[in-house]
Amino acid sequence: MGSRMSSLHDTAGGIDIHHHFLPPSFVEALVQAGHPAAAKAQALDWSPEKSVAMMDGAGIETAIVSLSLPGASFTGAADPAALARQVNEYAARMIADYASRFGTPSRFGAFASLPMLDAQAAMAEIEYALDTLKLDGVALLTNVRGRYLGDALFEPVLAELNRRKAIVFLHPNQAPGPGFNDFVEFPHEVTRALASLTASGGIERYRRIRYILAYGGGTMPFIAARVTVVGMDVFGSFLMTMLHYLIRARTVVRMNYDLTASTDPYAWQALYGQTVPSRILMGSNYPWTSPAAFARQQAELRACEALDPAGIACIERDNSLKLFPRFA
Amino acid sequence: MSADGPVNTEVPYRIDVHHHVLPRFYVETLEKVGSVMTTLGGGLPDWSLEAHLEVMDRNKIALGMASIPAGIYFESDVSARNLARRCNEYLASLRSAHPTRFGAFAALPVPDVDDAMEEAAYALDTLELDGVIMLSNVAGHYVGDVENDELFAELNRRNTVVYIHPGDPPDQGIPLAIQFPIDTALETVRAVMSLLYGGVFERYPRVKFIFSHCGGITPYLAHRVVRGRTWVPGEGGPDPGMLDGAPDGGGAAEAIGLMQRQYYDSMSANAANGLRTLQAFVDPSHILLGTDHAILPAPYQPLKMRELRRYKGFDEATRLGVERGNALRLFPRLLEVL
Repeated sequence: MGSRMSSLHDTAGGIDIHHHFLPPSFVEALVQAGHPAAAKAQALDWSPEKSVAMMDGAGIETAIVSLSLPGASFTGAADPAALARQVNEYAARMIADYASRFGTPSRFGAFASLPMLDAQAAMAEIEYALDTLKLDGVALLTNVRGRYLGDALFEPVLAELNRRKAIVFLHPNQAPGPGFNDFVEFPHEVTRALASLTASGGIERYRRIRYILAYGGGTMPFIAARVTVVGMDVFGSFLMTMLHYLIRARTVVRMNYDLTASTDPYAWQALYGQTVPSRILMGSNYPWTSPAAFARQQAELRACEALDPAGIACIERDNSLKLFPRFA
Repeated sequence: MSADGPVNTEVPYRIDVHHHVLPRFYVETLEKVGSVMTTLGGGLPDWSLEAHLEVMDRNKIALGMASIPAGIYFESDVSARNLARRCNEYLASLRSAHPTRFGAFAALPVPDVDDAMEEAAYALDTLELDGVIMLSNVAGHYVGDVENDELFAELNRRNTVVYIHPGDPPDQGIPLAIQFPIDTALETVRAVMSLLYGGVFERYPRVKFIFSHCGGITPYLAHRVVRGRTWVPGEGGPDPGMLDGAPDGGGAAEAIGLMQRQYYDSMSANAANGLRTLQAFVDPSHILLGTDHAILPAPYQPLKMRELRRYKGFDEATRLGVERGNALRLFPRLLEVL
């Protein structure tokens, strides 16, 4: 722990809720399937040691890891259920390993991966990952092979997560087809998933799910007050906006927002206007985002006039502790 | 009278740059080609000029820069060239019948650039319309693509105002019920990017672009837009290094500056959160009132106007600029009319 050079705080480091891991079984599955992401996944050459080194350098006490893109159910995956099981067990071992090595359970947590296209296997994995492995929540991708979260296929999974009041980290997947610019359009996936859940009514039916929306809610904070979604209720003689609907479903006030890539002055305006600072959680997107870019993000956060040091400390740690009290 | 002169807000005084008319022949064409506008979300509203003017009066809209709400090029046997001409003659007749209520943006039959240049000359010289409307993409060709270079050279020569409106998002395998309402906002970002990366903003600085719906999601995604400059399409995923692109290096500041030189309409930014973000991105003198009348159902309009009035980020003079003065500076002809 002595190597934690630049602690965010005197007493305890930050909590990073957007931190990816690429266990060997996952990289191997991508390579075997000849998936286009395989080369990049290999090039990242991720290891728990690398994560810890980044965390120590950045003053991060705890990283809650989630599987990197394209998740466990990518096109060509030989056995998504087995892969999800393997990566979840890897996460549990890593958590235990670092707990004993550091004498504290605070270095790693994990969001479970689910084989989403097979509802029965996904339900079994929820039970195993949360009850037996005691992982901290579930990571859901915005779409799985073009099926967005409001798809009827995912109803039982959402119902079960709702029953458990599970924490769900909602993370973009690649759009099903080529966009104009995948890099720019990536966060918008979160908005598409929310639109799908809004249109299906799932956002209201399963409102006990505790969402953490990646990338500051994607583009939702900027456009929710204007877009209407086909299939939504008609209110008076016109469609409610997505924001109206989220408010009526009593979900919007309970959503949490990942800070990753949302500290530039424009995105920050939208995010800060959308929610309260106590719902914003620090995220790094390591290893896809470099430590240098993360440092810049944190410097931008510190430059926000709206926040005092106590508010920044809450974003970096305390807000997440409310969701994940085991790291206190 | 000047753009900043005293304004009587007891009578219609607003100038609306995002303003659609729906002549019967045009709606019939959309129906004939099966446009998504006629099938999704309840389809198009019944439209009459009388009711249209009534909504304008009720919402104190003095003048609308009329445009047709969607494309004129379809993958069908409908002649884009003939349809554009018919639309533009309709717009010209509307304007001469109601010179104090309407200006007009001409439709152009892109992707055929020769036809588009011919129509631009006719619409701007003969009909004396106030500018042109272009869609983010026509049949997958984005507005800033190199094919349109000659057209922009001509529009630059004429100091034309170009109103950019979303077109239908191309098929990405996203369910239409999600894509149509949600990705329309993304289409304007794609248009901005094609013009930025295509060098149009730099090469043709006398073209004044107005981007609809406060640039779609442009302000929100602006930092990604400029950090994505070295992005190579088709590589299959966000590059691990992409977020390292310094926002203040590699032309990023210049790129943001080029975007900030353009104009953005307030349509649907009215909700305070959108306006705050838009105002952080561009100077308020580059924000113009847009209502999306008559596509947006009429009951929304008073709510939108109220949101704009209640928005605390503008003092009264700034708000009046957004509602009127900024448009008068962009279209000085209107000083004689209003």
